[in-house]
Amino acid sequence: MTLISHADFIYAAYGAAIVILSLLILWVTLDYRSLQRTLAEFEDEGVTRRSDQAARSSP
Amino acid sequence: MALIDYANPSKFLSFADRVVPWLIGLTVLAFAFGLNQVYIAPDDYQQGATVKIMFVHVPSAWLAMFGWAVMCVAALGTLVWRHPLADVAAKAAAPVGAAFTLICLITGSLWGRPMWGTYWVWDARLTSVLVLFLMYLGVIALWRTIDEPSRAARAAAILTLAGAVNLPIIKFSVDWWNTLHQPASVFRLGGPTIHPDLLVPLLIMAAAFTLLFITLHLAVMRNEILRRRVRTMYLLQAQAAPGH
Repeated sequence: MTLISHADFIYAAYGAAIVILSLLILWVTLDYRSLQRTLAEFEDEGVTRRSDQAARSSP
Repeated sequence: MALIDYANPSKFLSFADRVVPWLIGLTVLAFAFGLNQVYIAPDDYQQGATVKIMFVHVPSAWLAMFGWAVMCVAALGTLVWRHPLADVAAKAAAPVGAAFTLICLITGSLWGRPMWGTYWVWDARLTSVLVLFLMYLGVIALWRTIDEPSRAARAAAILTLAGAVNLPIIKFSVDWWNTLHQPASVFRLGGPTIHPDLLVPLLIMAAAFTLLFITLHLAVMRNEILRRRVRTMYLLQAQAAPGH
């Protein structure tokens, strides 16, 4: 029988928190970059929203 | 610029772009200070070093409930005040709140094994927090099920407000039922029962986690606004296609 010290539980708890928060931050960051890239591609193709067109045409 | 001006998605995006980097810096500093305080904090006379799990578990639990409370306010903003960014705020809070609830459940289990001799008991506190986690997953699934954002927003808002009944159940579960989970030791009528040597690091870590929640919430709101712009672009592209 392997005896697990209480330290293992402490490290596991902090490790789990770090993993979950890292995954969350990674998702937010990658999602942001993907959305920015997609919007840039639309702009390159000339697809714009009515409000963007109005902003560009107004003096 | 008045607060109401940030109801405009474009103005909010520019606000988020300015504020999020500062919040990231503040959050990093807060965690650096907090983790240092955790490291030097003394052991508890009963829990020993295992008390250090509490510096992650307790703030996560607070933010798990805070996340749902934010969603409730946003739901009222959607249904009652028709605020333009209310449903964005509600949708953005769900994954962040779910993550903190999961951290609370896992760290609680890892604390419970050495302290109680078990990873889990079906007592009122643990069960109601598990229900909260499942409710978060349910709201996230509901958002994904309905394509049209305003219809999804109304359905999610109603589900969120119905789920608000779980918040006082979680908070008062340790008073209303005979639970293994201990009663409140910080937010209680007679004041905190924790020694300042442990209370101060706990509150610093709570502040750091709160800054992290706010940062992530703003960042996810920003992503959601961009996602709706992408959806609009796809619709415009489809309308402009030949034969449409």
